[in-house]
Amino acid sequence: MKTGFKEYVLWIGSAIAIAALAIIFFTGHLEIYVLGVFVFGIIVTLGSLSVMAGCGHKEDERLKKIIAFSLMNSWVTGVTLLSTVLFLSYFNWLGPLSAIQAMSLTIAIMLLMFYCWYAYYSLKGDVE
Amino acid sequence: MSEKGRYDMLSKNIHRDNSIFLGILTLLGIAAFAEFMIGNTGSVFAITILMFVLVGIIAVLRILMTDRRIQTIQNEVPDERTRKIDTYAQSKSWYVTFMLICIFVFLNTFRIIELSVYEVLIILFIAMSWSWIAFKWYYGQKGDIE
Repeated sequence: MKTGFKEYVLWIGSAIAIAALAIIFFTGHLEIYVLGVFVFGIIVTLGSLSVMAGCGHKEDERLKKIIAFSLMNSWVTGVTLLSTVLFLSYFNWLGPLSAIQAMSLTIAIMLLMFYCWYAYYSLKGDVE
Repeated sequence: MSEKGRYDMLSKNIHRDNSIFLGILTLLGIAAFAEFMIGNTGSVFAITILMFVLVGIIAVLRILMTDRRIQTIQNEVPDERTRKIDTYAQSKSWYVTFMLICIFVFLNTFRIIELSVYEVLIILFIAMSWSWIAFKWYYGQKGDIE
């Protein structure tokens, strides 16, 4: 499979997942058809990410590095965000947010941060 | 003692210390998980979870400080292998967290467990820090990421 095609699959999968997450976040509950769309989007995203990150393949070292660094930065952002939200929720400053909304927000931010870093490193050409 | 010998000895000591520390953390983790599964009400539960979070934070800080110590000994020359292990451990932790949140979405949707925002955040925070520590330890023991 060519890298270009994998990238398209990744973008489409993520767009579907993020759209489903937006519905979940703004409605505050999860309908069964939204769940189906969400599952499809997540499977496609994780599948294409795993293939691109090179599970057993050593075809593109640069791409593997870019994905690993983007995931790492997304992870750091996720930890920072969780710490902040945890702090806010401890003092009840978070407002009326349900558990499903908190989860969908976390997934969406993790995905979006990954794409921001991925785009940045891709445009830069390398991670250094 | 030569610079290399000093580095090897300290590196060995740090790894031994980290293994003991990780063992204690694992025991605390099992205790907290058992507490969570048996009776998730009352202040004992809250204290256990709080302890779990604090130990996770301490573990992360300790690992960061250990890396700093190693780097200082190596005359501020960044260790490529440590950096690589760090990056890949965090990216694997990202996958774990992502899948864990998806599992929680399912559990919450089908009302298998109902968690509050606070509980979800604490569990995710623990999962993120602990999975990173676990992957870092695993790759460190293995020697490389391949």
